[in-house]
Amino acid sequence: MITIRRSDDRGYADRGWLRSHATFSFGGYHDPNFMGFRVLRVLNEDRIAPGKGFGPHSHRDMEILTYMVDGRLAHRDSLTGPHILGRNELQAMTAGDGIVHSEANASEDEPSHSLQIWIEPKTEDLTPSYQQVGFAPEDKRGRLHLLAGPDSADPSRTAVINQDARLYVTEVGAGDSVTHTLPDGRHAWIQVVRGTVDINGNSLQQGDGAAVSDERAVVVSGAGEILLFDLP
Amino acid sequence: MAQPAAVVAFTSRCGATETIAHAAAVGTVNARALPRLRRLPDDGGPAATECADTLRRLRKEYVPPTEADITGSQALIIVPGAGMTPSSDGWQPFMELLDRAASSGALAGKVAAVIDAGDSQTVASFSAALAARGFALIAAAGRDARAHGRAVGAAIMSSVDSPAR
Repeated sequence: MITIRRSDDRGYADRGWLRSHATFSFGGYHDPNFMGFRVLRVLNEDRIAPGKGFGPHSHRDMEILTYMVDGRLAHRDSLTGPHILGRNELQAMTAGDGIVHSEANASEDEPSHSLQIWIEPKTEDLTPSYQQVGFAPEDKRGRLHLLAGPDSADPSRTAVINQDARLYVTEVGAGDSVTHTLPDGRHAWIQVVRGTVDINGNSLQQGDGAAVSDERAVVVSGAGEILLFDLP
Repeated sequence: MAQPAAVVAFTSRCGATETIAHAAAVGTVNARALPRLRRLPDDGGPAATECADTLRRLRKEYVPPTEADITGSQALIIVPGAGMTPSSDGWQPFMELLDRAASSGALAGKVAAVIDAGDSQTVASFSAALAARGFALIAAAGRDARAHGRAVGAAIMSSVDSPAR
């Protein structure tokens, strides 16, 4: 079963310096029908004006991932920093038993465009941590590249998160078809980062999402980039 | 019910006191309270060369505390730099803000703590100023800002857990 979440149906907030689309309930946007999917709790698409950002604030008990679509973000937290996050990079922060962080557009000239993702951790009160991974553009072309998972063969390319969930990225073009097999009991969330893709026969545009359950596989084709969450 | 909150008010020009304030804020999060980090305005003058970038960032990232911040929170944690007093630049207007809140009874039942940034005289003078305005002070166990923040967070969380108190 595939349930599509259209881009225009998401929650939307415009604070002037921040334009944010929320796939699931977040902040002032609340829809009891969209409180998350499995352990995926937040999926926000943020566009931040040049030189602007979120001041220092706190988090607890959440795995917080940021995937850059365009531009650069500057991150600081109570553990480390500053860090600059750019395209083809992912930041993974374990809030654990408490962390304070800030994030802002690192450019004074160009807007930033990113996806912020919150995944519920498997346990509370973890030790906070920060990771940043990167990959070459060709690593995602026509194949799935593992950005984050419960373990990592290469911590510079795959971030470790405290949940039995995996986050992949892929970019498909003409003639490409990428298949991800879903074992029994596993689910997937697809988020279209850019372009137009076909997911098991369903056409999805930039900003659209899809919940996938009770399917043997996810087959991606078309012309675009997606994030694929493999979830318990 | 809203998550109990603690305002963490501090002064910083070069980032050292900010780091201590963050540690105190993390302590409140450890106790499952919500910190609201607020930096008091500085005099607007230039920073020492080695702090110029940090000062620019601090001025950009933080907003100053407001009376609504104080009255809407259950606790106040202040982190003054070493050598400061309640009548120092920046802190004097903040104390006047507290006076206004106190005069309307809005500080009743709130707890407070002064984090030691390296000067026991500073801690003593700010502690006295907060006590005079009606705050119940949470004493520090040593100079661990995170532990102190955690104690404040635990105090306000327990007041929520035990509404009859």
